[in-house]
Amino acid sequence: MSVPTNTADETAATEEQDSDDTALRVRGRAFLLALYKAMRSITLYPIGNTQVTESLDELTSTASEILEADDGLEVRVSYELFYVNNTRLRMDVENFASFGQVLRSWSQAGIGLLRVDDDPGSWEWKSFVSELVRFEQTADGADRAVEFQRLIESLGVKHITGRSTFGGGH
Amino acid sequence: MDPSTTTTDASAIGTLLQSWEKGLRTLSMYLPNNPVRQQTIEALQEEISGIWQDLPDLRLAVWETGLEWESEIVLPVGEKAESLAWTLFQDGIRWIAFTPGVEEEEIFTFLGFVQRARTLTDEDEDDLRTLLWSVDFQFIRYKVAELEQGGEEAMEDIVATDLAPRPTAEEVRDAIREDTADEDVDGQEDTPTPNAPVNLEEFDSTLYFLEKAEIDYLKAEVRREYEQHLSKKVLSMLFNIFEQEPAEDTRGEIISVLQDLIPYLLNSGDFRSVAYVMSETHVVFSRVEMLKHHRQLLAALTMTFSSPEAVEQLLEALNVAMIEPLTDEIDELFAYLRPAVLSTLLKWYGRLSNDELRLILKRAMNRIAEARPDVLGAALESSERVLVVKALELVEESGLEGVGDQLVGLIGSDDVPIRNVLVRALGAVPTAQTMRALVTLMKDTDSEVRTAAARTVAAKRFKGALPALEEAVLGKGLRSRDLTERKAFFEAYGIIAGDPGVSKLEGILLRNGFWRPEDSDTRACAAMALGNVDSQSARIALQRATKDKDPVVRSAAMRALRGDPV
Repeated sequence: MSVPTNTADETAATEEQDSDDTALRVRGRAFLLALYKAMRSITLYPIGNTQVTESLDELTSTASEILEADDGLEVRVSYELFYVNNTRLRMDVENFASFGQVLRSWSQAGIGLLRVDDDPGSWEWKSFVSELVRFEQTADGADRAVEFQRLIESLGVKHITGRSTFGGGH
Repeated sequence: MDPSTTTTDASAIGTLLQSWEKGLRTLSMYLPNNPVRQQTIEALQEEISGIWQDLPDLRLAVWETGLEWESEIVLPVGEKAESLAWTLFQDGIRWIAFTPGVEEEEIFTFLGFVQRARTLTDEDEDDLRTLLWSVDFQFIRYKVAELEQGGEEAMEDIVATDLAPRPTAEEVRDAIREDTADEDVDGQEDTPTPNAPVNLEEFDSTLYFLEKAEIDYLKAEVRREYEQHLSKKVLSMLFNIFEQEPAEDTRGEIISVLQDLIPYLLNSGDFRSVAYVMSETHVVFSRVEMLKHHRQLLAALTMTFSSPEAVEQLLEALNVAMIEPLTDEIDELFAYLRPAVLSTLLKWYGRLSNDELRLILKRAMNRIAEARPDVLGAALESSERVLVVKALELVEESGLEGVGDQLVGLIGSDDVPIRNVLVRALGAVPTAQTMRALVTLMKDTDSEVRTAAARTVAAKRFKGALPALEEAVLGKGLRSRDLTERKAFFEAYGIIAGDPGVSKLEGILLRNGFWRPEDSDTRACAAMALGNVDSQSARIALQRATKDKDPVVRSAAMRALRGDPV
């Protein structure tokens, strides 16, 4: 019996896929770290502070890069793992605290899936992050993600959607 | 094999059983680690193994008169207290059989029970039967008196069935399923048949049907189960497999699993497990032969953990109390940080808002700095200002030695705050080298640094500073400096010069004539310096000054005599 071998085209396709995944991982990691930095700076400094502005600019920029390169940005949490556009991000010793903090804040807001459409811009990100770091559930038994989503929509956030994984159909 | 066709005779069996009786005594006399006991065990094993060449098993009837094999008493009852046969008979054993394999372990458990049964009293709840029942022997079968229904012949029947192969668990389950199916077909049966499966209703199923001791036991077991450090056990298994399985793929996969696990353990605050990974990695490194790239990957595992990025993540998580492990767990983990991480720890030390964490971090920094002064020295020589300041503060707070050269090297720093901290650090490590450095700093361009240096040499009573102090006190330069600095220098001079300096200080104190008079403040400083000299001549000079026309000098002299601070 002959051993099946990859054709040159298949091999090239696989390599291309690996390369795409690696690039997406790098961009995804940069996005989550930027989100963490924005959360931290908004917690520590007043909204108008340079640190806050710079961190929000970085967040907007990293999100835009993914949107341009992958035609969309969807971040999903499953068993404490982040998936950016279905590519798993690896938690390592050099980012565990940042990723862990983002995970905790999402968990607090009931978010299991974050979808970003078009380019929200710095202002929407500011509203989203500000509410994320201070979100506390108000209604007993209500779906936290739904409550959080209503909150940010009331502030004019239209291109960022947070859902619980169950509500998101995953 | 038919026993009648064997070559083993009754005397050989008798000899074997006698050796068991002797073995009983030996086993009861010596501790498990005693060589005599070990020799006895080996001898018994050898003898028993010998008979399996001729016999398929050893079946013995137990009579009041002794043990019977092939209708012949092979081990008569002698001294009852030491008789194996009597002990068995007394406790109701009427027949016993041993099969190959018993010599491995079970024979010694059996003999141990026989010995223990001899020491039991009527008050004990156990007897030999209950002891034997407590162990599920695989190579020993026995019958007790209550089971005898029809004398010898009946016993033989029981023997035959008992030595038949045991039904397997699956066979038992099949039998139960068949019985249950029959029952279903027959309809409701109120009275269970003798062959019916266990009917739970026959048991007391009330809430408290267990004894208190049993409930306590169950609770303790459940608690023990939940208190187990599961992740450590899993890690331990991984390292065991790594050691025992040299296959490249297996080891590579284990390293990969460890790489993935560490961040999750850190994130969940399970620092003890991460410390365990670090310690086991060191062990594996030292005792396991492995491929070069596996060694490199394992080394990278511990190196990455001590990388500045990783340590910063760790400290940030701890500082904002994202994770709250126990203090001793953090200590344990920090012990595995590599010395090179000291710079990162120093920079973070000032930023931490968590006091408890600051203490832990300080312990870790001290540990590293004491073990590796060169790493602390490198921090002192760093081009990063904040790092140098934090390293100096560490030297000051902990009095760390071994960095004298680096401290002296900072004298020429053009950063005044650094030189200020340097003075304190030099004072914390009083050696001839650091004290000389302080003398040099007494001539620093910055007044605050000079003042601090003078105060420090005074506090350390460094005699080597006397020429420089005397030059300053008697010279003109000091007169134009601010009062704080003048006081510091005069005070230091008084402390270090002692009585021999009194005449010079008295000259300054009492120089109030028309010819080059001293100003009031300088004379008051001299009074203060004399107050630091505990001698008769100093007191006389001060008493003369109490009558001075200048109220500042008069007041300073009186305070110095009283010992009040000026």
